[in-house]
Amino acid sequence: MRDERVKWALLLPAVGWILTFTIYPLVYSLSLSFQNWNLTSPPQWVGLANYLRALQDPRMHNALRTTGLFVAATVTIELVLGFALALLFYRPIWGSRALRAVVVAPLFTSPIALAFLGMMLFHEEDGPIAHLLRMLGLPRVHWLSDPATALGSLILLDVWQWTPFAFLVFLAGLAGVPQEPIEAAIVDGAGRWAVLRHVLLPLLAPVAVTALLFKFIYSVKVFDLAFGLTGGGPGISTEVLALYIHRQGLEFFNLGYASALSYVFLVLVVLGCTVLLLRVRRLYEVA
Amino acid sequence: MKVRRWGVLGLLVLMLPGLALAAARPFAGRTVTLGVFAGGTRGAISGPFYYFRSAWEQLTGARLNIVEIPFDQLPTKIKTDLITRAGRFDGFVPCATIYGDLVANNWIVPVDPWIRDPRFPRWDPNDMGPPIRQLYQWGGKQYGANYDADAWVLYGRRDLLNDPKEKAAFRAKYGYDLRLPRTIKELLDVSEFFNNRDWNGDGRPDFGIVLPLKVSAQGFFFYLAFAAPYVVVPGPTVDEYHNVFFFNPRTMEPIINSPGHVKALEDYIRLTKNGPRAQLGWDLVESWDPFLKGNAALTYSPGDIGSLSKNPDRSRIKGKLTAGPMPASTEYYDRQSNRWVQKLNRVGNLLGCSWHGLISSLSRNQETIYHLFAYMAERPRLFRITTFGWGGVDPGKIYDFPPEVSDGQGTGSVQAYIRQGFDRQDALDWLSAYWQNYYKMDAWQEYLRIPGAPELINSLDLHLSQALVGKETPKQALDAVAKEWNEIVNKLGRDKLRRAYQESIGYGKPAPRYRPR
Amino acid sequence: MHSAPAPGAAAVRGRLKARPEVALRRNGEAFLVGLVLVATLIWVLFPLYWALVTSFKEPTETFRPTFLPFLQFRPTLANWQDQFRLAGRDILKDLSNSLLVAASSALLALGLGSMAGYALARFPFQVGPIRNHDIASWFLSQVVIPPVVVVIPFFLFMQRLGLLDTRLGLTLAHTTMNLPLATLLMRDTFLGIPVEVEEAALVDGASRWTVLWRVVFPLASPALVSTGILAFAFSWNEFIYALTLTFERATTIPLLIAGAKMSQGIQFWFVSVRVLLALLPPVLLALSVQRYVVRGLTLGAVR
Repeated sequence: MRDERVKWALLLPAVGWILTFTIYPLVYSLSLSFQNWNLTSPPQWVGLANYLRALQDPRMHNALRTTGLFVAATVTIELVLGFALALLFYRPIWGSRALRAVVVAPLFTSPIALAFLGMMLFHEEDGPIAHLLRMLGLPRVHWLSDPATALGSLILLDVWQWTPFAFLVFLAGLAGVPQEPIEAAIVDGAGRWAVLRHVLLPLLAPVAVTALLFKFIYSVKVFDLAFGLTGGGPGISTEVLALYIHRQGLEFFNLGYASALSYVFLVLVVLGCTVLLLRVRRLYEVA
Repeated sequence: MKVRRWGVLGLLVLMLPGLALAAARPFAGRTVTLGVFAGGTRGAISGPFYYFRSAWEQLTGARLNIVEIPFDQLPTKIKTDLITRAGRFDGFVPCATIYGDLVANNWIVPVDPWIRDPRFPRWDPNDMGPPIRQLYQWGGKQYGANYDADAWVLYGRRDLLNDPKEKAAFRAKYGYDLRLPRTIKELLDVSEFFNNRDWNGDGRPDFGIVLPLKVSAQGFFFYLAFAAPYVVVPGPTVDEYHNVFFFNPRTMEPIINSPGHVKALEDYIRLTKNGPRAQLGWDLVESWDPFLKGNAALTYSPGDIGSLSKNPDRSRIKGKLTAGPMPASTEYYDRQSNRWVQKLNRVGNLLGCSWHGLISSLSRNQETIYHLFAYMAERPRLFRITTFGWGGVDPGKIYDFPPEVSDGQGTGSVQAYIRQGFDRQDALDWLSAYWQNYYKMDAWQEYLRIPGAPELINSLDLHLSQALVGKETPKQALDAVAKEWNEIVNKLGRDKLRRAYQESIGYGKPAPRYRPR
Repeated sequence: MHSAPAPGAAAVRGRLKARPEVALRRNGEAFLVGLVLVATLIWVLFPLYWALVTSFKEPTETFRPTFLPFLQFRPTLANWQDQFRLAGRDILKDLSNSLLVAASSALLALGLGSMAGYALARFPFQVGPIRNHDIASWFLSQVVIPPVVVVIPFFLFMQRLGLLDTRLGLTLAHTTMNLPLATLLMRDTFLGIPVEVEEAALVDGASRWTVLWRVVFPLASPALVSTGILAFAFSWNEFIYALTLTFERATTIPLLIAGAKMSQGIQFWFVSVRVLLALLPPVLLALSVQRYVVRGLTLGAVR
């Protein structure tokens, strides 16, 4: 009985908070998506017109493709790197403490600031990276002026900033992993890779899945980097979905269309998460 | 009787100082809030307001609260303030592009009744160059007091263009004398001539021209400035075929994909090849850097280059700057007769923001804020602000120009600029460029400030960028823009937009022209 | 709670030491690890080093690939002086706003989130067909919402409450943003801590709240700290809500940095100064709580 009260008392504040502060905006946004409103003239009801337009909008398709590429690259690279780093520096060996302290710095760098820093770093004529490439005799890369490589610049910046996230999450996860199964496997003569794949990874699966999901969602929502570094260009080669929606909503003030785009975005992301969860589940048979 | 009369008189006499004081501090106790572009306390646009704030406060007894808003956020912050009727700003200094929205919703207040009112400082709207004056008006009403006048002009390296070795080599290659380009052909030749070779002896190849072509920044302005002479047909009145660049004002059909535009874009792409590949991702600061450091022969830009060139921690080319209006075209496309006309066409532009103060209709202190704007617009004060350079206020009023550069029409003095740190010849060339742009062109490109302008511009900006990187041909790009523009116009209301466009350009009225005094 | 190391471990370690080829592998491994460490440090620190160097360069030097002050370029204090002199008040205001909002929203999110996470990890919920797993998924779905979708309704909401341009309003928005992550991370943490520990304490007669405080909390502290740091970081860097909901009094650091973008483009030398100032408080904070993360991790290992 007391347990009943306790469990609801613990859960409800968080749930209540979210309901209050998220539901109203979401519902309002949904109703907006069925209208055309640009803040100055009275709104008009248009039913599903915005959704139909969103599905056929070539710029929306481009944004989806761009965002998809960005997400795939960043999530993969960051999780792998973050895991590797967590594994290497989890033990209290020399330097790992310094690394753990230093590694939070990228997380605290405002993405807008990082985008501006990136403009300097990726400067094709005189930036430090261009300089390094020149010194090594490597060909020049047109980081920000070539549609083919511009997305790469964004990906690099995101990797720099967010790998520590995966690192920290895996670190916390490794702290909670019981040692016995690992030591038992070593005693049994299993090689390192085997221990990794068959013992450690499954134990870390819940943490890994959470990290994967969160990073997936954060990557999908990427905005500040594209906004600051490339403005979506050159051309529309880095116009990610959040940027396109922002443009429609807060630059052109097509609020109805922006809301419809956002809901399409939401549906796609939820679908993406579900697919991801199912596939990862199958790999690790997590309960 | 007599006693009472004297008593009343005596009372009045005693009250006089008080009355005088009240008259001298007419807005005592009021506080006004100004939303202004964030240039900082000693930077563009906002700087002069800080500079003169205490003097104005003492004069009027009012208090001025300055709220700086970063460039990108200006339209959003101002519009949300007005739409939600929060009314936090009594006045604001926005970019001229949102004029259409402001007027359409009756958010700004015309200042005509106060211009000759003796309670307020005096300034003359006719001091402002004719085409720019239009930007301070809408539908015949004046909304702003004089302040900034923006346009794009061409900059070059005087020392380089006068260098005998370079002149000889240029003549040998192109068959005419090297000088600051006056036509498009010259612009293409000169920029090609100086591109990709080391002419300043630093061991790295230098650039012919540098342009900030980054999408979603200022890149599209550079196409507009370049393309104007191909498209804008001079004529006595603003009508469907003359003095227009963006739309046919009678039908609101976009003319952005006319043959004039397509050829302009083709040549523009050729021009950009005479500069570094990297400029496709550059914004203004990055593109000014090579020119100000002496690694580029040409650029075109708003007035900032003039004022930055005298700044030792931004520039190494003080004393080496020359300037002129945007190059003319040797041919233009006439839509009325559907053919190309082989005639020299010099077209001025009004690009930029031409920042000036506007009064919010939600303000309860409209006269107070008007007093501020009129105070800043008083001739000696505004001239001084213009000479600062760092104030971001560019020359445009007749009193900004020394007689030497203005056919004796101007009443300014170059000494004032020199006192602020300008090099003499740099200043004269710079001022001459602006004089010619505002006062001596055959026609002017109209300024796009109708509702929906940001969306229209973004569509153009994007397809320009696609064309520059070769993803679309010029024709494909501009056709796509025309199609999108039609969609936007239909969505926002064709009639509404047509009326707005006609009002904003003075359709049916005589084209702006300077009449010498 | 803290049991002795498993009996086999010492034997394992002894056995490893005895085999020379393994020892060699260990030395080679140490070298490799050292290399990775140095490379990682350079990778992490370089952009920040570049910001540092740029802040001491004259604007004409910004786009020159010079790295070492005094040796390759003449450093100047002008950018720092300029910022402090002209923008000092704004910098202090934005720094303190950011600190207050980030700390408050992180603490709030941690508080509410740990409670909810604990409840979801330890108790079975069932409301109709909805069970724990579904509730967790619902929390996850909140993270999915891109701010741009809700920002205008949020703006109107805050305006009606009179909370525009207040730190309280922004804190509410940021807490909402951080709450789902905090809940889910803490839920994962609690799922990973064996129930037996708590049950043993309960059997010993401790009340549920004592169990929470004396048993669960210390075990969960590394995760609490990590999650807290993350929540702080997200709030510290958050841009869109700060952009829309604040105006003058409650502006935060990212707005200060974005504000260095003038109509002429970005003043990189000022951005560098602001970026470094923006980094200082959170990095100092992270360094000071570092100890707790490390302690918690080593405690867990010795278990």
